[in-house]
Amino acid sequence: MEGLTTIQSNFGPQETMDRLEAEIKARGMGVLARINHAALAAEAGLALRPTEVILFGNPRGGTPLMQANQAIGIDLPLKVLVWQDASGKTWLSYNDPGWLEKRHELAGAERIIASMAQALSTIVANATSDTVQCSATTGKRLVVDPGSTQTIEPSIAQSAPQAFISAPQLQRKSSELDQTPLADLPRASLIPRLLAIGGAIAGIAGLFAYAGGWLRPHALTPARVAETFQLVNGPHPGFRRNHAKGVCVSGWFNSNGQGATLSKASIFQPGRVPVLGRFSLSGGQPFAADAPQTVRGLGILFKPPEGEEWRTAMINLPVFPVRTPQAFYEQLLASAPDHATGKPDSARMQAFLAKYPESARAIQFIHSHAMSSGFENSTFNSLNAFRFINAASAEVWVRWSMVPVQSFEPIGTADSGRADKNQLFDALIASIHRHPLEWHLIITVAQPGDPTDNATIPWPSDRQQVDAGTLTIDHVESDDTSPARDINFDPLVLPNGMAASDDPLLSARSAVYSQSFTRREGEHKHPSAVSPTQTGK
Amino acid sequence: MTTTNPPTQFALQSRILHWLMAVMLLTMLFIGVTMVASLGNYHKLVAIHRPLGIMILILAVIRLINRMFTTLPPFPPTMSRQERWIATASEKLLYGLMLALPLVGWGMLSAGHYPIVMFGPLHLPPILPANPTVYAVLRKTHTILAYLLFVTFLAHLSAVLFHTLIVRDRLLHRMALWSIQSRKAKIKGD
Repeated sequence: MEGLTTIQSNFGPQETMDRLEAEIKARGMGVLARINHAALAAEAGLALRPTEVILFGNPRGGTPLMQANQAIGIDLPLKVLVWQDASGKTWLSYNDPGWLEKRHELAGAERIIASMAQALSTIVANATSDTVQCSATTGKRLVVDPGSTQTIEPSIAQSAPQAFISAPQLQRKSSELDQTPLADLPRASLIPRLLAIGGAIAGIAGLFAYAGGWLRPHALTPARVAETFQLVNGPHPGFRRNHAKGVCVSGWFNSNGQGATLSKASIFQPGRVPVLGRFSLSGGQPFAADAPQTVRGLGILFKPPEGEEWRTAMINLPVFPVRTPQAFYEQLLASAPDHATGKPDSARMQAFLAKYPESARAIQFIHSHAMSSGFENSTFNSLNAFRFINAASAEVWVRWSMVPVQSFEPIGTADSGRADKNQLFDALIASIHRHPLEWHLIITVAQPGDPTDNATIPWPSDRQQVDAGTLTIDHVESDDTSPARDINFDPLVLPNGMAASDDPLLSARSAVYSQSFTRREGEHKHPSAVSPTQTGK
Repeated sequence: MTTTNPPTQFALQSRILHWLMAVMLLTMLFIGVTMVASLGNYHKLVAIHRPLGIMILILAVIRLINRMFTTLPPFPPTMSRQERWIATASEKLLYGLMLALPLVGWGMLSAGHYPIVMFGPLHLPPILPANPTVYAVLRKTHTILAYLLFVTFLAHLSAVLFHTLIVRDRLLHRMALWSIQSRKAKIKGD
């Protein structure tokens, strides 16, 4: 019969049943009932050879199975039938737990089913024979057909040494059935599997650590660039890591509509767009005295009331001195003041220029351009190339400049000898107070072959230029009070219709600006060099 | 057998959501940790990170609603009470992180005065006013929650691998994309 295991007993029916009950109880399981079919038959006046069934179990073993499929409750608790055949032999039959598992489509219950099968085979073996303890090998095992006399030597129990569990062990097992049954895999296959799991987890964690730069201490990361700024300039918490000293401005941009031929950005539609900006001096020292030779910066945020923002951070150099983030980093180190002299080491700068000839050429080009006297008459350049996409989806590569309406004055004609630490900013503030300052936004369109990935090389001067409109600055404010202090003038905050070029500096600028922004926004803010009193607010 | 058994697997849409989001979340964690350490690829990765985060947020909401209205398969009997408690708690943690990380990211960009650029002209409105301190706190929170998500993911993966390779209780079948009913039918037919 399918799923029924039948074993011959060395004892008579009554003794077999008594031994069985004792075995069950010895393993801490509860006997729920003994039903003597033969006795009940006799009461009804019918004849039946000795036939008795015992119901027993442990809720800790059965409940998880019923949690998996309640229908198995019909076959629980466990039952063992003791019966005598016509020839006087005593047999013992029980439902094979493996068959119950299959019958009720239990998924994932292999361990409990296996424990149950082991417990049953041991109990049954001990009940049917006392020659061997804790073994299932003595009872002759008859599979499937109790009517036949064919006996089969036990095979399952022999092949599974774990089946021979001593009574105390079994008790512990059954009381822990609701615990994770730890692997009874052979040790030889357990270890490689554990190693595989450990290896997979360590591999993923390692990949994550590698991606995050923890395993590459020498990689140039945004954090490393920011830290180098801190190292070169000293710690100035709360301030920008570069262009630390500045004043904030606001005004508007009047678009004349010409820019729309190049880009579909809403900023280039005819009309007026409010702007927020910041003039600054390059370097990470927020309280350094203004020096006319210091590179000047202008960050502008264009904020159309409806539509997307455009942010740009420009400087007053005609080209950028470096082509790559790595060169920028090395230049930063080479220009760091020497500990002994307090001045940059010229030998290090020479070595840098020898290593990066494009930087030497760019610096030569920069020096061939006369610098203006102050912020108000400086031309501010995007330097990096960008892509503009117009409404017809036509793409061009561009650079742009803010070209001052204020007339050019060379350095030195202003009273540079004065000991005013904020002379450049004070001059800017005074001129904004006199009258609004204006710049034209001039967009230069590249021709095929013009370098778009190299900010050290100027584009030829005959390139098409589009005057997209006028920037007017009519208000100046200290960093201490302006919302522009907490703006990251990330050059890659671009509206639809503008996109990054293949210039490697752009992504790096975006990354380092973000790093600097995150650092300073989490630090305590200190009053800036140019106070609200000075800006006249 | 004509009785209604509890499901042996998660609902099909739950399994699809699980694996889709597993790929998205892992991609997102790797993009996140890579971009903050990258100069050259920072911009490209950030441009993916933002819209992918919002897609995860939308899917996480759908998944949470789906979770409330579907019947779950039972835990396998091989899982102890403590293990079930841990599994339930880590599931709650994962749901919380799937929802919190994009929201913190969105709030962080809002507080940092950044435009919330998705793709093309599509932008999202800020959900918080610009505030440097709030930005700094949320920025740090975003990182900590991301690490927590990664560690929780590793723990989840370890547990599943342990059950699959060591306990061998077919725990993974509950989440398999294919149906395990056909396998059963085959066993029955044998």
